[in-house]
Amino acid sequence: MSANSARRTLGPLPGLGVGMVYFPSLEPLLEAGRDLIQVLEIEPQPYWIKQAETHSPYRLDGRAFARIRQWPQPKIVHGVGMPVGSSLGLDDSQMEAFLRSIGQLQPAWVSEHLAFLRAPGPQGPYPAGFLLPPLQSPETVRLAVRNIRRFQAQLGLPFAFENGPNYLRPQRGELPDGEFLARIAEEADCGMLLDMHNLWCNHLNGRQPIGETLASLPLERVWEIHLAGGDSYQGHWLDAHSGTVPEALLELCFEWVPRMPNLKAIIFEIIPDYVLAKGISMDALLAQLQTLHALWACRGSRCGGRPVADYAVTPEAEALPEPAAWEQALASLVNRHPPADALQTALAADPGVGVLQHLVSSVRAGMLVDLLTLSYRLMALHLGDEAVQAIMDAYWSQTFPEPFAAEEASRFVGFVRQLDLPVPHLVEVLAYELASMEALKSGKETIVDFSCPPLPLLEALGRGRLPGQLPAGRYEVAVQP
Amino acid sequence: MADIEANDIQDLRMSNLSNNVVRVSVPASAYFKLDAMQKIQKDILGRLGCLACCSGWDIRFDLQRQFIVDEKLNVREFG
Repeated sequence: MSANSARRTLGPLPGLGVGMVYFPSLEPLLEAGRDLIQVLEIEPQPYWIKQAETHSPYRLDGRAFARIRQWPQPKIVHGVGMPVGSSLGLDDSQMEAFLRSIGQLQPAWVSEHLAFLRAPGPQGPYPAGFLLPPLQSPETVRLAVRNIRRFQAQLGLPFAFENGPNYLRPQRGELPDGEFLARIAEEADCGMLLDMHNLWCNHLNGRQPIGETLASLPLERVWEIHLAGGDSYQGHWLDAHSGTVPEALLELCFEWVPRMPNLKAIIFEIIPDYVLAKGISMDALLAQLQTLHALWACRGSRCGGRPVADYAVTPEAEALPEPAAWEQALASLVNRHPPADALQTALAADPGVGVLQHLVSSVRAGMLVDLLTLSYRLMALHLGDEAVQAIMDAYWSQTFPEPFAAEEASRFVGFVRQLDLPVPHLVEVLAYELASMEALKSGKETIVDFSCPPLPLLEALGRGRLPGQLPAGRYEVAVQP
Repeated sequence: MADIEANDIQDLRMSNLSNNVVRVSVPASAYFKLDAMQKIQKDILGRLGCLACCSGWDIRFDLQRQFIVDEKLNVREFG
């Protein structure tokens, strides 16, 4: 790294401190931890609404951005939909909304994942349904560097990429985890958002030991670290953001954060649904933030040199598949399509593929029940658990994942309608839930017809019950934005 | 739904239209409170777009399923 580039990418960044990824339902924690949460990381895509193609396919949800801006902490922006590890390049359809998000939030820097989310297919690119690990080859280094440089040019802001977890076995001839990340950071001359829990996952799941990975990284490029808790699933440790940081990982962080001279933020990630499900107390979360402040205090206090990595391309590396073929193979397999060639057959034997298949399904199921809660309950109460699971499986087998929840739910409503299921009032409840989404998306009142009193029906399902016999009648529900 | 009964019922306006159709007006935000399962109110913001960064298990379906399906996979009614 030249002195000029060091000034350009590292010098101007402010030290922001300890923070969290923002979720609206974490606001009680933000209030309680006002003194402990110094920076908010905003993932903008959840607050976009997909719209009929106009000049841009996405618009910002103004209410969400206004609410976020009310928090006094500085914001940093972390993309979740334009990963930089794809052979397809950046998803240009998102760029305008991304830039508008940045304009609203004025971050000191921006980050995105070193992953791919779309795959090349015979009918064009399709969504893979999950942030997937790129093949760790010299060719992927080249394309990631190209994507990052393009991103940097569009943003006009410092950019850092984040390392993801990789639940697959290392492929023969792949670059080791640390060397892969180091090469990209150095060649793109950018920052690193080092997700320590993702390195921890790789370590526990049999990839490169975390100490080796860290020793091969350009730690002076680490501007930000992510920390989170995870869970075990089918013999793999998952980056689930489901709790507090494992103690052993924290100990490791106290060993390595002192060697990061340009660390500007430590961000704790937790999914609000897990806070509820696991009964994680406010006190436990505040105590976690206090621990992270102790970690922040020791940043850069013990900087030393690092061994110079040998970046020579090994003969095995030349035998690796092309990144596009890798993306096509992995995206197809995790969406449960049968192996179609030798690469896919070999990859399908990796237990990590099975894990990813379940993770994709969990995301798709989560989207459906989140936005179609009452319809799901009505179907499950009438048809039974197995029948509803079979309906979802059939839907997933016929469609690729749609990353925007409202679009996925809307498409599922169309699928269920054409099944003509023997479930009283299902069509009306589906229409009501669709109308609730549409009212929020469009800002306009939406009318839904009911053939029974709607409130007893909706209230019963809200309680997880069937409504009992309801008198027939002509009703309209006007869903107001 | 407890939230609707307690807080939003005042917002539900019922009227008889001329053709004997009863119209009920419901704010869309009320839908996103229709959940006796949740101990805290879910938020309408951030639910229509992309999933937030998560490279692990999405627990939302499990929570819904556990709400109405018991450990023997029998669907059960609450209340």
